[in-house]
Amino acid sequence: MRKALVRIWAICWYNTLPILRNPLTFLTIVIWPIIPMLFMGIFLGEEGVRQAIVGIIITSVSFSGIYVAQDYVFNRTITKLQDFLVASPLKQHEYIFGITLSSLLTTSIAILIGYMFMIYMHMASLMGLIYFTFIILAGAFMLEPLGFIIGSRFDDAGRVNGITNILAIIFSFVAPVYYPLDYIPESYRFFTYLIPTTHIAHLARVSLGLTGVEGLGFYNHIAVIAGLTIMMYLLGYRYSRWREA
Amino acid sequence: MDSAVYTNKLVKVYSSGVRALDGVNIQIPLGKITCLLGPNGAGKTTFLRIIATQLLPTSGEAYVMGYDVVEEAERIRELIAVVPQEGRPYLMVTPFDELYMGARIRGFSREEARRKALDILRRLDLYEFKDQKIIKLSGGQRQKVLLGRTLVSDAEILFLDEPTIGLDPVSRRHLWNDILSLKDEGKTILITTHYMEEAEAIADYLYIIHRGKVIASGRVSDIISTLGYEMVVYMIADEWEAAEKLSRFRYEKIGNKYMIQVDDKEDLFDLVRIAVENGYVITIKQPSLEDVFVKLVGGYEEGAS
Repeated sequence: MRKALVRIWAICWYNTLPILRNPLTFLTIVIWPIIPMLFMGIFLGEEGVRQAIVGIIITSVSFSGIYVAQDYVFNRTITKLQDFLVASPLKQHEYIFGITLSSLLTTSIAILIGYMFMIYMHMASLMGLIYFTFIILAGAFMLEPLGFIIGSRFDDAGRVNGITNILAIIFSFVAPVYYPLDYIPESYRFFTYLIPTTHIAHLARVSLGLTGVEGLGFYNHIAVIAGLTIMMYLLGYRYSRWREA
Repeated sequence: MDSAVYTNKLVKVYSSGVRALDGVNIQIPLGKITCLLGPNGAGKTTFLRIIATQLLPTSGEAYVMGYDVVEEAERIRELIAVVPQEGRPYLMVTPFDELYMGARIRGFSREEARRKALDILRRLDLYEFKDQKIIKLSGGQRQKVLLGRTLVSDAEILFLDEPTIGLDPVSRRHLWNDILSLKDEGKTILITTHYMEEAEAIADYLYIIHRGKVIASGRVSDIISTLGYEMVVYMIADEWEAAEKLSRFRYEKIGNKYMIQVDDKEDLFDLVRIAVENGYVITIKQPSLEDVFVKLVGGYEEGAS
């Protein structure tokens, strides 16, 4: 068990280094989700900032899942790191945990900034914050395999970059992540329900008291998140490539 | 146990229908350098990836240190380390980072991993670059970093897939020396290459692979001796009558260059005379691995067609 943790941390550390050593990339990752908060604050005032903080955190979590795809395909087809690792004691799930943890660490600065604003603006009680954190972790857990599914389906890193960028836009801006679900007309909501971040963002807002429970109803949103999580992991297990056939 | 790797009738057919390996039998002896030589697409990398447990075979048997590559891959992975073909280190990390990671995934403690990484960097003449980003290193130094990443593992069996591809001749020779020094430590090394001079320089044993089949194997000198002639004469002659003047010899012609196989001294003297009288450029050599390779692969293609 200890050796497994050492290996996971080694992969996480190694995969995070290129970003830490490249301050501009790091800065972009941190600033990108914060930009909407700036505009929403200017045009919508404090309420806009409250909604945007939730958006920052959900976006960062979804980015960390989606952008795993880029690391995965890069390591498999460009650097051949995966070939090196397969022929070592590192296990497939350790590699996946390591890369995922690295992705979460990279985006954690934006998430921490979001939490700092939440606390500063007294947006939640302690219980609300715990509940919110639980929802965010569930969201992260659900979205992490997505990157592996995308990264393992394509051998062309450029194509994967394109797909992940489009998904990032859909998950962050087409889904009601920076604004409440109620803002979307009833007749169009079906489409947003197809996007996983809709459910996480809605429950996160409910936990902070920023919106009512409406939508699909509390338990249905939970059921959708649970169902999507199981589906993501099954697909991830089915498609991710370690030893090739 | 004499063989580090043993395969029997190993077959790999990809989902595209390409038959990359077609009944390959190979034995790689312990503590020696074995080279897999073959043209691009011969099946060398497929073979290496199967025994490195990265790829499943379609049929046949393959064992590394007696462990089955299909059923006992995890045991094999404790014993081997690989430099993948066209592998690249991350450009924004340092050589130390690469080697340290290589040691940590083998389960070494932080202090052990640090010590091993620094030792290997010294040994590969990379110590002074240990804290430089890899983007600033030359191609040869980057390749050494990849080799170093496998060496920190302490693995007894190393699989190097075309480790010198794309390197200049000087860097290539440096890397050969590093690889030869590993043999002196008792490591078992399998190298794939399509460079003849590389195989001649470092291989104890050689397998020539073509179209998924082993077409020659043995010590380099034994393989060369199978040619059955003593000398090879290269003659550059740009007049059309040259072919007529050389007609009684066995030769192959590429452009203006004739490669003539010579079995006795009289023939050699005749060729020198022809060259001097006609002003042709002549070079006399002992047969090389390249001559064997051209003969075998060329002959194989004639036979196949």
